[in-house]
Amino acid sequence: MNTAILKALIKKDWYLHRYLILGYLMAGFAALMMVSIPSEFWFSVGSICLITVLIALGFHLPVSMVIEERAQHTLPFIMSLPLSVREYTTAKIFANLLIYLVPWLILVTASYILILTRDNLPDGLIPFVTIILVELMVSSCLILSVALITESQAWTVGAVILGNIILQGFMGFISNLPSIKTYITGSSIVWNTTSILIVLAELTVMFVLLAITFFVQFKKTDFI
Amino acid sequence: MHEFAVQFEHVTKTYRHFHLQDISFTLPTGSIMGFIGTNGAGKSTTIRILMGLVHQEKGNVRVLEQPMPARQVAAKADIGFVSEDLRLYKSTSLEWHMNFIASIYPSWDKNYAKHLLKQFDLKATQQIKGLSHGQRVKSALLLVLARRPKLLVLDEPTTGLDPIARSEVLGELMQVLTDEERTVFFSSQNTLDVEQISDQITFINQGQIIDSSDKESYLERWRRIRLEIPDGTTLTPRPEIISSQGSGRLITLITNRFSPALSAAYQSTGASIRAIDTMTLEEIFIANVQHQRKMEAT
Repeated sequence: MNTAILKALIKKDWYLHRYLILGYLMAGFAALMMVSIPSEFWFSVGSICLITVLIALGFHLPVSMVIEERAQHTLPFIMSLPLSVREYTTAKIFANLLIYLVPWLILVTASYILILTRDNLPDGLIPFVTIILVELMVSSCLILSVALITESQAWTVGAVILGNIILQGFMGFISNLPSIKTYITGSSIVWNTTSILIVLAELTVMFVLLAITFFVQFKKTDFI
Repeated sequence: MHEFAVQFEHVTKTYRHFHLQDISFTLPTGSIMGFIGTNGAGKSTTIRILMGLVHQEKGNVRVLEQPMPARQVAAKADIGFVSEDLRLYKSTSLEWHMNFIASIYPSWDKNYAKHLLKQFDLKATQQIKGLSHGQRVKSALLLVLARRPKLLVLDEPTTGLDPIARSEVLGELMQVLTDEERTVFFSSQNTLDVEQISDQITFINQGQIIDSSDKESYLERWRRIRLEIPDGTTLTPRPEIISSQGSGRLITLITNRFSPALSAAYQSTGASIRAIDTMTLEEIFIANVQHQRKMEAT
């Protein structure tokens, strides 16, 4: 694996998407400000906005970094460089995850700070919020995998829809699990077996999705 | 120095509606091959196989001594690729692209890049989205030439260019070719461009190589012969003749194996030769394709 070219490609994607990252960070902070207003209404609106920002970022990045590169015919330029499909895929996955992780981590940290410092937000929310935010990252990995494997905007949109349906069902399911629900409104943070297992399961799904993507990409015989 | 920069041996690739059949050719190091074919003839597929981006089903491909697609990374380090449909990042400048390429290729020649900027009348700071098609092609060519690749693969680079831009691009290519180790594979529909710069010509049609030879040999072998034959005489078909047109006393023949013996043979039948004309590459290409189609139909 040619690490020099991987670095150059990741740096390139960072540079090309710098305004997009900034835009989503600003939108995320606006959502967090809404959450911090001591009112149930603003908490709901802010939470929905925060989730929407992370869903949109999870969709926007793969479309811009993978689908658009093909549609705008910049892919032949990249593939003329001394790299293989393996290196291209690795660079795209790393660039996408890194770019997604920066606003994600900032927003997760800000959410934690907000929950822990505001009296109107119970500390018991932390495990639930973590599970949902990790699920959003899994959803973004699903979208990235579909974008890389199919190279199709239609399939990627399909993955977004599927990801959202799963998210809605998942949120409803998790919030009604007794071992989670009991502690959401509590004043202390409880990481019980259920919440830990759910996070581990989410990380496993993410790993499997990325492994499938690498496997399919390496098997491709026609790349352009 | 390797004897051949590119070697294709019995390469096959099948798509649903297209079949690249048994492609074999060699491109000697230091030469320029014009790869001529109509739309959908298989030029781009051949080039994608050459670049390792599409894997052949059968046959062997070696580029700069590297087996493809297995060693495409090593091969591509010395290949410069420009195609008509290749685009640069619109939201950035040519300067950004130059720095990007320089960060990847240690062979990047800053001074030559500056020379090319002047030569192509380009501004490094200009945004790519503001460039015309001709400027985009010249920018892509600059990014490739300034890293001094051993093999240049150009997929219809002059398509859509105005005459000035075309002349500049071809002029720079000719300049580049003063380096004897530099090899160029140049695909085009425009036979005039190919005729200007190539020393090897390969014709492809419907996924098959129909002829491959050096340019001089084409121009020597192909002739249009205008004959006048006596009333009541019929010409005996000869294997050297690929096309015969006209009726009555005036006949126009096209041969792909001209020799003085051929004209002598016609004269011995009583025919008088009105003219023996050389043919342009375009005429040769058209005659070649029509001959192949006729052969397939029979």
